[in-house]
Amino acid sequence: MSVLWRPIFGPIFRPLTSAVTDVLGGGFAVGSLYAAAQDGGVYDWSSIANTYQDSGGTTAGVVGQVDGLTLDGRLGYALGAELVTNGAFTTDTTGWAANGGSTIAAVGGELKMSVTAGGMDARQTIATTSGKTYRVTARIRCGQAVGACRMSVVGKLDGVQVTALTATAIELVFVATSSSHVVTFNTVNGNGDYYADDISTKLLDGNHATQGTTASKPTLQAGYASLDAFDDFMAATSGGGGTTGILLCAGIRAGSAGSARTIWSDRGTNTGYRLSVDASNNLILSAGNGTAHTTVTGPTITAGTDYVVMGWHDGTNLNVRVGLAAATSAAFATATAGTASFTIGRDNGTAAGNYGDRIYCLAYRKNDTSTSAQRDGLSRWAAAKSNVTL
Amino acid sequence: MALVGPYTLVISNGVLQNSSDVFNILDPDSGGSATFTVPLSASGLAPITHYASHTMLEQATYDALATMTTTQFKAYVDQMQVQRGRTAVGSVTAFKNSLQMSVAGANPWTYLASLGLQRVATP
Repeated sequence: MSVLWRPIFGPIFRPLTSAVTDVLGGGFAVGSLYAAAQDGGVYDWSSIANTYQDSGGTTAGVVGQVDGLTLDGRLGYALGAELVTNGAFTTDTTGWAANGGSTIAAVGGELKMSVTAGGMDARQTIATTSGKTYRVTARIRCGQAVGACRMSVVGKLDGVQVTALTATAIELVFVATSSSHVVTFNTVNGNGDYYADDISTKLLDGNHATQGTTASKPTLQAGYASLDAFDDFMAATSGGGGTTGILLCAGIRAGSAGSARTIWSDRGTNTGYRLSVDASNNLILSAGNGTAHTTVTGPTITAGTDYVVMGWHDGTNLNVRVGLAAATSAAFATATAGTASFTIGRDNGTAAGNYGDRIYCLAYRKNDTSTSAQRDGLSRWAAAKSNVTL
Repeated sequence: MALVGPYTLVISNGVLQNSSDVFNILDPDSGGSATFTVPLSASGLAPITHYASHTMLEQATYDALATMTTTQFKAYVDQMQVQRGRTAVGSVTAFKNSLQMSVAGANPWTYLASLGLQRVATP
């Protein structure tokens, strides 16, 4: 690691610094609901700190732009162990291979890669678990005015191209699809020398919500994500499919009545759960037992007003409530599992039921066994994120 | 790169595949082939006659859609295909001739109504 680089590193990786404030709210640590490794997801759009414009996590979220990736914060955005060998290049390039004829050396605490033709890079194979999410970070720069360099994960995605002569912090997120992946420092065009330092890859566990189609991405606004009631939604590829219980809590602004809109769903044909509002703006929780869906209809919410809404299944009843008001309940025993994936802001697996208006935050716990005190705490957390007074 | 819009895009059902192939290239992210997902018809009932999308666009893509001739647009699509390493598309004529596009920020429902179209409710 080059100590000379430190003063010019403006960006500090946001998930590391924002974890504490993101998981606390209303005096309730939402992470406590997942302390025993319960499955689910926590999505906090009250801040853009853990959002990205692209589903590959290469471009940080910006107000007024789209949301392609929102990290699941239920585990506190904690990172796993370092998977890269010798990413600091303090004395040598051990662990790194020069590919395609490039030459590499450790110079001044940086990796110096000299390129004389296209297709050259420096690379390292890291062990991964298929289906898990990983975050790659590095600081990279060009050694001359011509050319550009970037970090890539072979066969997965390419990071932002850097043309600067000063070190630039790079971050990208990918979902592993095999037991190993190759991380590379490579050039886009132009021969010459390129430099990298602090290359890191760590597990970023969670059921992160993604949207790879720009048309379907929500828009990030100051304090919330805005969905267009037309084609916006996000989805997580794992975490759905609970049967014995569920807890869903969201801070939302109620949209206009007139059509049914889904807040969260892992629903299949007569299976799974769905929290939604119907065409009359009544709050609905439904669950399928393999034969039919049972529905509990809660209070009506008023368009243009912010609410904390909650739905839960405790193995005996389906329950919905607004704020801390008494729940409306309907008997229901055990659900038949919906899909392993789940959808936020649209029907699950169907281009219908798109939510319209603001979502400030959403927390979900699979196979829930929450206490009344935990549910009240979670509502306070959501209220703090949504500026709702309970 | 900052995106502009959003715009409502409408294409006829018959060019859905060609439109998906084009947007697989034009979308800066990986899921452009799923750009047109909202089914439409004049009555709001099947059969589906059109599909719509409500999307932000790169400025260059907006300019290409709004101002280029079909020949110019094909060159732009081909350039982006190489740059992004996406699957090449043959003719873009069907898509380009079919595309109708709102002004930036227009209410999508109002725009659809102006075209005499409604969303087809799915069961």
